[in-house]
Amino acid sequence: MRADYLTVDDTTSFILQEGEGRPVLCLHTAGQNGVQWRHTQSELAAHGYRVVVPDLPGHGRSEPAPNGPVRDIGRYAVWCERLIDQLGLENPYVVGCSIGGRIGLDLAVRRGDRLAGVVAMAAHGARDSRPLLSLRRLERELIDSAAPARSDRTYHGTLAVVGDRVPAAKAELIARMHRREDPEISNSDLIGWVTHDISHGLPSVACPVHLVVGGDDLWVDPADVQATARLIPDARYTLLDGIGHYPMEELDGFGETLHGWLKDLGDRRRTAA
Amino acid sequence: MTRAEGTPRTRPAPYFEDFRVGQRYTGPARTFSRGVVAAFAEVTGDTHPLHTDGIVLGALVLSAFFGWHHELGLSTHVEAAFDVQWEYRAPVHVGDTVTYEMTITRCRRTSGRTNGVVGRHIVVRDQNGVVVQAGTSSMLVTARMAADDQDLRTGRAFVTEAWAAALAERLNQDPDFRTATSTWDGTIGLRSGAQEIHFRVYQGRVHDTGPRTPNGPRFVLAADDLTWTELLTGPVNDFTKRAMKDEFRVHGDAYEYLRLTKALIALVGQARVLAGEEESMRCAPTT
Repeated sequence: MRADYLTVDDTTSFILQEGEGRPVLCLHTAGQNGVQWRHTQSELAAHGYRVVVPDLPGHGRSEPAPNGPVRDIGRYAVWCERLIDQLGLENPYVVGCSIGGRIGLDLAVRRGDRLAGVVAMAAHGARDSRPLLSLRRLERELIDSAAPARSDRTYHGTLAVVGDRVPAAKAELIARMHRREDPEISNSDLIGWVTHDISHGLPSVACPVHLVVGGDDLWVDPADVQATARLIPDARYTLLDGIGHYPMEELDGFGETLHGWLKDLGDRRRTAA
Repeated sequence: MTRAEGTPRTRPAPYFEDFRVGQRYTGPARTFSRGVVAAFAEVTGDTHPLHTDGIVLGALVLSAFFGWHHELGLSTHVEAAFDVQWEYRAPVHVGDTVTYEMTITRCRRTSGRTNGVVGRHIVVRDQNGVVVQAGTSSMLVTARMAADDQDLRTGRAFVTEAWAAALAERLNQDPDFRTATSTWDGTIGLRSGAQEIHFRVYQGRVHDTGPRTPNGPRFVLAADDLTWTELLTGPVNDFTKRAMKDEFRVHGDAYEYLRLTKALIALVGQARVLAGEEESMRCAPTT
């Protein structure tokens, strides 16, 4: 495993890499950082991938973006494009969860012809049809005094969206680690979520896409994910029973599962070519 | 929550004592044929074209609930039905097959002690699982014996004065609740249907409970009887999930409500233990 601070799109950014082979870019969820992939990265690397795990601007060990917290998923996608080009990743896979999944879909629209495929988890490409989040509430929560017991709510809110199949000790660990967020950054990410809509671009996506959603994910309506899957040519759709909003943190041996999905995407890419 | 899979008339007809908050009854499905719908329209005089056009009269689906209740043998000791509050949420069509699911949400013995009021919440689903109707109805049920068993029922007499007093005792022993409220001065209100109860809290202790407290509650957390029953008798403390799904409404100072997130989860946790205690007391052999 190697770690670098790279200047990506004018932001000093923390990038972890592990393994050699087909590049895979792994994108974390709102307010979190690359630590969410700590188990997956080694498992994937062992299968012959070059796993690239960035902390998005403002997250983890990366500096904030020059113009303040990012509120636009497309902005993150541009940052990822720069990173891909800077590292010289050729036809990488992109795997993301929650806002990371949305960034993956955004990249599929922008440059699907230069991606091996995208696995988008807990994400879809339109506005939520039954929104639990509202822009007005998120804007209000950006004012610290209007966000009481934020850390408790992140902790309990995370526990509420981890799947029923996940052992209590593991759910507890996930929820505790999620408390490390910077609320200003998390809220800005979520503003990005509620305002992001790339449905018009989905029919022209030029790489294979696999959409994955947990059956216990309260944040994402599987119907929305299916709707996105229908818009993207030949997209795969998987519902994970008993899993919630964070499959890579919830599932033991997730790297193996992901390897299977990536192999399938790669095979389809070759067949199509 | 206890599931009582009802098969018609295979269980002895329940008296008041046999009903417990949290019991859930399901039973045989019911299909409404064109003939039955026409007959009901004829009897009631509601021959609106909608009903001759394939939509089942809402009142027929409601009336058939009482038939289902009787069929399950649950009506034998019912002395009276008090009220019905009912919603038609989606149309039922001729030929649809509906199922009834009834949850007991309240059991209160009357002051005369020879009978008691039982609150029921009913959900009606069609063959696709869509909720087509839902509502509540309370009934007066004869007691097997005239006795004062209120103490035995306190743990599931949700949002009543006796329940609040018992819960306050538990909360004052609970380190999680005490820590979470250790910097707080205010009153928490809980509401279930029309009932409201207050917990006066000062720096980690509940000092008073009751339907009214000086200065009133800072906020009131409100839900229907079914939500409280499911939350407090269900398999896990899923308060956060239910709050995220908007099953609760908050009146008053919403920021103070958010601030007490951890305290409210602890309160629900203790209320669940209290509800479980009632169950174990009732199941203990009596001498």
